[in-house]
Amino acid sequence: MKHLLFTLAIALLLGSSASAQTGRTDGAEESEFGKGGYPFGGPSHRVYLNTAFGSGFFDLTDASKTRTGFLYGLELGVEMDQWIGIQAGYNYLSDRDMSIFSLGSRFAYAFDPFVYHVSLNAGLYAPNEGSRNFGLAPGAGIDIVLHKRVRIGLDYKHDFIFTDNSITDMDRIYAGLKFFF
Amino acid sequence: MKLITYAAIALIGLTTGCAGPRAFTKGTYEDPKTIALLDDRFNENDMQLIAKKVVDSILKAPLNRPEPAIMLGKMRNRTTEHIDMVALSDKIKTALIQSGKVRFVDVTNRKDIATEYEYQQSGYVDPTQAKAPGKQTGSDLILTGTLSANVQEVGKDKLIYYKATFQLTDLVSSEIIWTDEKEIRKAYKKRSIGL
Repeated sequence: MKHLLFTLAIALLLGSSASAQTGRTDGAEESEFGKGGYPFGGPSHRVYLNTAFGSGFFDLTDASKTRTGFLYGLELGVEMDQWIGIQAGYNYLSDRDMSIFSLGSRFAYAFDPFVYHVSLNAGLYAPNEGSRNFGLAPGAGIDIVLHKRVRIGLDYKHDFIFTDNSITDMDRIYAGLKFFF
Repeated sequence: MKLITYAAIALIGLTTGCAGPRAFTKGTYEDPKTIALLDDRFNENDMQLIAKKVVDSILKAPLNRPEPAIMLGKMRNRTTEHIDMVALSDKIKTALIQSGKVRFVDVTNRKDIATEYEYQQSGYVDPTQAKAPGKQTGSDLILTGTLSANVQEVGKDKLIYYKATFQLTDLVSSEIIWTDEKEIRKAYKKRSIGL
């Protein structure tokens, strides 16, 4: 967990220092060199941090019941362009006492003020007791743009967790604020 | 579990379904001096950069006479783009007049001025107020300019080069007493738009 927080802090610092400058034409001669501007495309290579608060729904193997658990976590991503990004995340599912570490890609389509996105993450599902398992989590979601640096969003992910003998399904639904740097 | 999946799909479907055809309905006023390069054509930022360079250079140049009267000559667009050279020369003229260091004679409205002289001398206008020909300011210098361009394009990369050359010619000696140029090079990378 400490390593994750350290990585987040470094990435945020790097992301904030690499923000693009908007150029002007009324500066000194040649001050326009290297400057550009596309006000609608948004800057590329932006780092974002998504906070996640929601629920996890999972099936119990020994009973045909669905149980829910409180879920919280963080996702750190880099948008290479407006439509594509990579992200790493950490989620904790309280009722199952399980940490989920994930890494994947995210594809977005902006339609002001909404941003629709789908994602595919590979994950390590690590309960405090029991064995760790690998899984895949396709997902979809929608963000509402509140500010050029802030979005509020709703995400859904379906987890296919590959255990030794079977595949356990889990659904995650969470809301969160996304901050761009 | 299925209920959740259906709810998520319905939410996305509903918000997408509200979309409909697109129109330019949400606008904001922007600072015109902020660089905005939406496409690869000549734009207002190019015009501002050229005008700024020309005006600064003329105001620093020794023109050998106090407050010379300048007339705007031909502004040639030798690029393949449609570029409003009148807007460019107007921008230069406005900044030079506002500097108070040079004067401009009105070439564009000569016909209208001549017609107005004829009317004012026709007897309809009070003779004490009627303006007559013969007292116009003779221009000392003529300002002309040429804009040319060169484009290099390979694959996704495109370089556009503009060169604006302006000159002031003395109307007595026909000597070019001042000339300067502004070079602009813009680099673009092609990317897909929309979906």
